[in-house]
Amino acid sequence: MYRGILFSLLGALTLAALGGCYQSPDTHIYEPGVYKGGSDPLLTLEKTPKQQQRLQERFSLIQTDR
Amino acid sequence: MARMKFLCDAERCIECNGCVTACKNANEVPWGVNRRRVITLKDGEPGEKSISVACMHCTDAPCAAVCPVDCFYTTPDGIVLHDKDLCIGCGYCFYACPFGAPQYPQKEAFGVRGKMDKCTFCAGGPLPDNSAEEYKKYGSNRIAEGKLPACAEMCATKALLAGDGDMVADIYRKRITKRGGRPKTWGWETAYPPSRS
Repeated sequence: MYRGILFSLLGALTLAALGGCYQSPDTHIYEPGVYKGGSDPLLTLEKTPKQQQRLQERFSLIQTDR
Repeated sequence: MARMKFLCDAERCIECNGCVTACKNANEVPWGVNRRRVITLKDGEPGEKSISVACMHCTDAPCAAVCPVDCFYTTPDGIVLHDKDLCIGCGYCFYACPFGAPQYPQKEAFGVRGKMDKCTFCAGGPLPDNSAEEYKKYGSNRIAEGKLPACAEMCATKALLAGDGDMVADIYRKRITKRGGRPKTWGWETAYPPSRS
């Protein structure tokens, strides 16, 4: 009786171990030409009119001819 | 929305390399990598001209077009940036770039390339603005502070201009009008002189 339990336990363990080796056959396809990196908080900051005004003022202050 | 651009006025550039030094200083660029360089044409000959070159933040950037891992993105202001966590250092962007802007730090022996590094228009990268990680990986983020790139702001002769393309063009147009012509160091007449054709 104990032998039967042992064999069934071994069988279950073998199945679990083999199950861990399973690899999904589905291929992950990425969309080409689409940025896949992290998000940059500057993107939202640049859209604000305040930031645009700051940069324009800086340009007028520093870059224009003396 | 502004469209950020660089413009180097060759008539004003005196090859002082102040822009290169300012860039190195502001971004702590590693040894062997130059985000900005000064190129001299007709060196030592009459009509010698120098221009400061870095990433030109192209509207249709060829580096982004050829990147196999799509690590490039463009900000609403037209600044071309990239994610170093995604970059695999393949070098495709270097071959595609007409300005030689992408640079690769040599990390190990036998010339193994590290992650690509290039001019960020002093706008950092895809990390929290002005954080220690962003500075370490991409350099300073002066744009988030409301400042313009260090190279242009440090230019003593105001040869290097950086900012909204329309405003830059206005300044250059006024200079050209005042001078009465554009430099003949490059252009159609230089590439195809009448004597050769």
